[in-house]
Order: sequence, then C-alpha cells, then structure tokens
Amino acid sequence: MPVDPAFDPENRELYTSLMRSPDGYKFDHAVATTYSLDFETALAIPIAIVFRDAENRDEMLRSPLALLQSVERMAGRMAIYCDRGRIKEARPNAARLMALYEKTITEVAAPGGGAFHPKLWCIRFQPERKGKPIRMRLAILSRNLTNDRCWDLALCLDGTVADDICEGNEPVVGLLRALPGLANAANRPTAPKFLPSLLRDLACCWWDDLPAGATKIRFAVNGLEAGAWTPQKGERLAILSPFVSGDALKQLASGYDDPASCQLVARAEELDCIKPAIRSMFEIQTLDERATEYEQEDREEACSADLEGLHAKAYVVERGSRLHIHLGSANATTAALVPTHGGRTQNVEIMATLDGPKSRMGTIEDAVFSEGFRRLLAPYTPSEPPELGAAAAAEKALEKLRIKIAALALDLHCTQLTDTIALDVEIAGKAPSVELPEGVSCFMRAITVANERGYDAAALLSKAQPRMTLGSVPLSEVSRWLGIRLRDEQTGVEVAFTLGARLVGLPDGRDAAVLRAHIANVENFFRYLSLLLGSLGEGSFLESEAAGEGQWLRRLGQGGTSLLEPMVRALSFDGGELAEIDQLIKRLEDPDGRTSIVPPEFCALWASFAPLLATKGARR
Amino acid sequence: MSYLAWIDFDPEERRRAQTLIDLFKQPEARDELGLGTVRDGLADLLFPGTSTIQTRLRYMLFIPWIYLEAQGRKATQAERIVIARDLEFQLSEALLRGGETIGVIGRDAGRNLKRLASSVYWAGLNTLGIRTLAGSHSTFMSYGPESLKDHDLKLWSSNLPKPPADFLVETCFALTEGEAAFLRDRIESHAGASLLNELARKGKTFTEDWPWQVSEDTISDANRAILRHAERFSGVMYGASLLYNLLLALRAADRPNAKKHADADTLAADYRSRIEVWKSELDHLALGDWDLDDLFGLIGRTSHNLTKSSRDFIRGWVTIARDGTGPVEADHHAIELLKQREHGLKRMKARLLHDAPLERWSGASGDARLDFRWGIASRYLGELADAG
Repeated sequence: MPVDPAFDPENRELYTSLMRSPDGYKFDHAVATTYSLDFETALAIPIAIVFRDAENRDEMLRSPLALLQSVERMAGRMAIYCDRGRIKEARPNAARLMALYEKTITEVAAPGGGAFHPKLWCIRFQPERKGKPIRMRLAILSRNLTNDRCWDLALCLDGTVADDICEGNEPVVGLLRALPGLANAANRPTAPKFLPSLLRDLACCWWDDLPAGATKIRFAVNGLEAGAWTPQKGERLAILSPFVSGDALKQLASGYDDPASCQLVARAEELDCIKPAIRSMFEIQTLDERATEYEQEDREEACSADLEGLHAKAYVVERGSRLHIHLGSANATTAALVPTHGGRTQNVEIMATLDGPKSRMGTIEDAVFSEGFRRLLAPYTPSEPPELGAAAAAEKALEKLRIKIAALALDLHCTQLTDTIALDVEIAGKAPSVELPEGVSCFMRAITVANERGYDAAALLSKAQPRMTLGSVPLSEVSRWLGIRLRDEQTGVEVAFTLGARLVGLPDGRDAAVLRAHIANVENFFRYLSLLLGSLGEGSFLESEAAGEGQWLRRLGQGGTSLLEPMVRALSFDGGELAEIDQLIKRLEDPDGRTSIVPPEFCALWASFAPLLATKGARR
Repeated sequence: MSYLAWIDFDPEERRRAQTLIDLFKQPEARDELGLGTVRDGLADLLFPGTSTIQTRLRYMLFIPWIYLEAQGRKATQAERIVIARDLEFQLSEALLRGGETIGVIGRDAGRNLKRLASSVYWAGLNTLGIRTLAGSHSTFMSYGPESLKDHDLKLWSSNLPKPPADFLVETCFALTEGEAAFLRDRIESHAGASLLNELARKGKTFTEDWPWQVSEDTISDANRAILRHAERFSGVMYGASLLYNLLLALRAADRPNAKKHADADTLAADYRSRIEVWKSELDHLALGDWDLDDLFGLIGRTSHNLTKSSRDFIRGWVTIARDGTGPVEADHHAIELLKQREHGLKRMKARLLHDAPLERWSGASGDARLDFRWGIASRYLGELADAG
C-alpha cells in the first residue's frame, strides 16, 4: 500500500527539530551549508541545540544571556558555509554577539562563477553510553538559513556509523571536503578541526529507513567537477521549481512528447519571462495567491518581501515500475542544471534522490498531487513580462557590484589604542580593483561601529588608497563582520549586506571581553549560572515570563545554600557544567584587577567546589 | 526520524501555515474586504475566550486535566511534551468511544492530527482564568511533579474540578453540574461584563439566529450597545460583500474565456436580488444615528488594531448605504470604494482589477453575514444549560 503523500501540505516539520538528538545521544558536531544567511536565524540554531525544547525562537532571541551561553557552547562544534556576499544586513544586537560566532561561519564561492547554493546539515551525535554506535543525521533542504516564509521541503535521514564505507554517500562527502577550499584563497581560515573525522564517519554512515516508501537513496553534486546531474528520463515528470529558465526547461522536457506528461509548478512572474513555445511543453500551475500570503488584514502596507511563496525544488519521475523523487537546491535554471564550457555548472548544487517501487511510493498523482496539495494550486495564466523600471535596473546593477565586492579578500587590522581598538580595512591578495559606476556609492563600516552611515569606500575599492580606517571600538565590540551598503544616488535604491573579513592583530581576551560586556552585573551573573546549570532538566530558565521568572532565580540568588543543590547535581552528573562555571569565573575576572562581577559569597562557595573539579579532571 | 516534509522555522510559522491550509479547506471563508478586525474585536467583547476553531466547551476542562497528568510524570520537559500529545490522541479516541461525533478534534486525522485541541484552546483557557500562568505549552511542560506541590506556583485555577477516573478511556462532551458551575464561575470572574456571562447566568438554551435577536431584558445597557453596533456592522457590511461578488460576476461574464464561470450571469442575477433584499432591510438599522467613533473606540479597547484605511473604508461604505438612492451597482462611489479597498489589501491579487486572480474566484467570496462567533457561543450556552 502506498505511503502518505509526501507533498501533502499538512506534512510539516520544524527546522529546529533537525538539531534534536536521538534518544540516548547528544549533539557532537555539525556542518551546514546555505546560500543566504541571516545572523538571527543562525543564532537560533545553537539555541535549539543547547535548550533542546526551546520552541519559541523570538522569545529566545530576546534573551541575550541564553544566546551567549548557547553560542559559547556550540560555536566551536559547528561550521556553517554560505555564499559570499549573501549574509543579510544585521541588527546591532545580533551583530554584537556574532563576535563569538564568527569562526563558525565561512563565506565560500562556487568555482563555476555562479551561486554556492546547497542547503544541508550533516550532524554527528555521540552516544551517552559507551558501546553504542555513533549516529548521524543528514538533511537536504530547499530552505536557506534565513527566516523567509516560503514553501520549502526538507529530506531528513538518520543513520548509524558502521565499519564499512557506504559508497552512496561519496558525493556529499566530496562536497563537504571541498568546502574549506572554496573560501577566498588570499586569506582563508583554517578548516575546522573536527571536519576530517566527521567526514570519515559520514563516509561509513548507513541510513536506517527511507521516507516516502523509497528503497534506495542517491546523492548528486553539481558545479564542483565536470558533468552535471539531471533527472533520468521516464514516462512522466513533475517539477516544482520557483525559478526557471528556458534552456533548462527545454532540456528537462525533451523526450516527453505530450505536455500532459510534464507538469510544472513555478512562480508566475518567472513563467511570464519564458517563451510561449517552451511553456507549451508543460502543463503549468502556480501556487494559489492565497497560499503565498498570510493573513495580513491588519497591515497598512502589503509587504511582499518576506512572503516569497514557492521555494521548494523537486523533480519527480515515473520510470517503469519505479518512482524517483529528486529534491534539494537545484532550480530548473541554466545556472543550476546546464553545464557551461568548463563542463560543470555555474552553481554548486546538491540533490538527493529517493527511489522506490510505485507500489510503495505511489505515482506522481499520488505522491505529489494529493488532494491537499492540489487545493493550493491554481492554473497559470500568462501576463506580460514586467518592464524593467529604473529602480529594478539599478538594483540589478548593484547586485552585480555586490558580487564583485564580495569576491575581494578583506583584512581588518586591529591596533590597540588607550582603551579602544582602531580598525583599518585593507584588500588582501592580488584581486583586481573595483571601480564604482557613476552615481553609485559604497559605504563600509565595522558592524558594531556607531557610524551607521558607514565610510565611503570608493578609494579603497579602486586601490587609490591601500587602507581605510573604520573608526575605533571597545575590545568587546571587535568582530570580523563588515556592514556594506551600495547606493544608487539617482533612484535611491540600496543593497545592504554583511561581509566577513579576516581579523589581523586581534588583541587577546576579546571573547572574554564580549562575555563580560554582556553579563555586566551580579544579577546577570546568577541568571547565567542558572542557564549553565538549568540544562540539567528541572527548572529550566524558560520560566522567564512574568510569574515564573523570579521563582528559580530568586532561589538561586538567595545565597550560597540554594545554589548548592544544582551544583552538587552537576557534579554527580558530570555533564561538564562545572568546568564551564570554572572557565566563566576565570574569564569574568577583570584583566585590570578592578572589581569583579562575581560576588564574594559565590567565590567562597566555589572555593569548596574547585578542588572537587580538579580531582574529577585528574581521574579522567 | 527520517522524513520528507514541508518545513517551518518556528512554531509561529507553523501556526500561520496551518491557518493557511485551513483556509483552503473551507472555500472562501475568507475576509475579502478586511473586516476581520472589527469582527474579532466585537466578538472578543461579547464572547471572550471563544474562537472560531473551537468546538465544544468541555475541552476547557479536558486540556487542563491532560496537562496536569503530563506535569505529574517524572520526565524531562521534552518527554512531557510527547506524553501530553499522546494523551490528546487518547482523548479523541475516548470521545469517539463515548459515542461523540460532532466537534471531536482529531476525529478524522487521528494520530496524524496537526493542530491539537490544546493549541486551539490555549489562549481561551487563559482569557477565562482556567490557566493562571502565562506561557507557552512547552513552558508548562517544564514544570514537573515538584512544581505541582509548590503552592506558591499557580498553573491552573485552584478549584478546577477533578477529572473523571476514566476520561481517557471513554468519555463525552456532557458537562457535570459541578463542571458547569466551575465554568460559569470562571466566566463570571474573568468576563463578568461580557454578554457571554450575562447569558450563561440565565442557564438556558438560545436558539436565535443572531445574538441581537436575544430578547433578554437583563442584558446590560453596555452589552445592548455593543450588540447594536454588531447588528448594524453585520447588516451594512453584508451589502459590501454582495456588491463585491456581483461586480466579480459581471467581470467574469465579460471575459471571453472565463471557463470557470459559465454561470456568471445566473450568479449576477442572484446577487442582484440579494442586494435588493439587503437594501430593503437597511431602514431597520437606523444608520442615521450610528456613532462610528463609538464603535472604533470599542475596538480600540481590544487587542485588535484598526488601521486608518479600514476606518475610512467602513465610514465610506456606511455613507453609501445610508445616503444611496439608486441601484447600488450603478453607484460609482460604491464601486470605486470597493476597488480601492481591494487594491489596498491585495495589490496585484485584487480580483476587481486583475484577470488572473479573477480566474480563481469560486463564485462566492466571503458572502456570509458576520455573526461574531455567536454560533460557538450559543452552543456553549446550551451545553452549560444542559449540564446535570
């Protein structure tokens, strides 16, 4: 009997559930890739891992201490790769915390010159008890690490690491292995230490059970080597792809004689730009207008930017007695699917294929066009392709410029002044200069610098001036992120993004300074302690709403004795919390020997714990 | 946990998606002209704690019982969330076993149910003071057996009735006398001024089609005034929906390849006659002395935010309904007002202006009269009256 239709809109999962450890396991390391990224969403990930049950993203993101703690714990255990120049403009609060997270994120570029487009997570979980095998999770998504509200799909696979190699995983392993090398050669960071062992485990990981009734899984990567993945031909084809191009659609439809055997769901404004002759090869639908907008009656202004509609990319093929569901990052576009003269595609893409008998997976009608999904669809009616207005033309020109600027390797030099750090930006390596077109300006600023307008970077980009000063900031506000804003004066159109630089000459103690700046006072110190200990279960800090807030914190703050219980518990469970507290106390000591945030009462209590910690450490 | 699924980033996003999917299940139950703010504002004043997706009153007790059960288990927060979820499924099975068919949340979906009863009732439980601590479902599950013993920590109303021993095995929606007394008491203490409370005290069943038809002389002047606003608003704005649909039918009839609306002429005739009936009933609403500022002031007291463009639209339409003389379909002011309103709300998706969205018109868009959740509220009142 066929399984439930995979594309039924009721079939939904939470992104953050990807981070949830299987029973009896704990999060170990992870590698992620994405095209675009925003800091706030990236910050929601460590939160989801540390506070496993944190379901309310906004609530959590408003709690700077929770962020601080989760990032502190997780930053070294994750690596996130995203396309250069695609980190969104950041709000100051999120940006400030990104100092602790900055080594985690690496910007990379596609060798073929297109977009670095894959969206995946590869996560390793360690068993809590010895003797159990390591487990892994691989997720191939269409969703970027941003807060866009689109119709996105995810394929999530859980597996066990064995002794023998699972050949099928090689394309994913190859992609992950290539990642560090895709960063700008002039100043690329070193690869994360855990990556080689994670890749070894992934190579030997066998996936437990496949969803949607599939019996086989395959992976394919486009854009790294010559040759390109494209779906195998069958008798019938259905495509979900928000973005489309004529060449790619022609290639996909070739071999299918009847338009009724090629179904296409795409965005209307993209379809409008396709030649009618190519459109006639498909039976075309779009997502109904109502499926792409949320109730917004109370809004004065219709806001389309965050409601992007269809974003899933899937190719479903009926082939003999089997059904293939391909899904991942590749749109039905030339950049994603059609090789250029170099023999590889412009974009880097990853696709997964679920393959199984139709008797289990169903036909295209069963699997894709279930009643629930059909309800969301509407027949496509062509409109005139939009005329390119002055604003749209300016935006296009600025986008081109964004790619050029993002390709530069930037170094951010730190110089210690009396009580601040002076920041100067410099172009590393031998990249060609970038001349700004007439009427376009580029402003650059260190992301935490007070000058929100930024500094005019024209002379730096044209190499007329080798270095540019970006002002000075306290040590706790030094980070490698630059805010970049391109502006077309005539139309007023702006493109803003965040770009990573390499920090050169960063004074010691920056991370401790960030921690001190955020904790700042005794009350926060106790809150932070409760976070460190709270993850043991009872009395999670999530009680931070009006009524609950006090209870736990008050008890904690009432003096040494009430802290004793959770600390003793931490000692006996030995989850590493006490070592974290130890480190915290050391880092909170003011380097200049002025008053510490840590109250003397707590220091006295801690004095009796520190030796226990030492003996535990010795026993290990 | 291998799966292939649509993905949401956070529960809020999932909730929105769910609302959207629900929208598609009930064709055209949509707020085409953006009247939802006034509708929901008045409904909150009259019948606090209710919502359109609620079904039966006893869920106001089932949910706390299930949560207390889950909170009493020695488990982690995550485990308790799973336990509560499982208990909710058991509850729907127990209700079906008890012979209930109407209003059982999860009757068709079974364990695939995506919107649990607890989420449908969560806000209402707080409004009526049955749930006494603010917080999300998962916040509640962070409290375990120790927290339940802590008398300083109030999670649930203190005199919450005890659950029947076998309510997760076989149960029904009938309220016991004690349960009904508790619910009446909650409504009294947390929504004392509301019409819901005034009618609940009556202890009887109401069969009127509309809340303003209830002829109880003990309805306070304040509630009478709210009802009068509700009646007028429902009556007047119904005409706007009818004209909107008539205009769509006329446009559809004009389109040479309007495959879907071959019956557009019949539809237009139908809407014309409904508009005639509507016009003939306007006198009864005595629009001449309707104080719209007073209505907007009432909405301002609720959590709903009425925008300037919505206020302007309502004022404009009331003026047309009050002063119009000829047939409304020839009234350029009326047509222009609807076009502007739809464009303001939907931009490129406005059906009065653009053909592609018109193609997707079902023939009837939001053409039902507003009842301000009277359907739910009158069922609740009946359930309270029947308790025993």
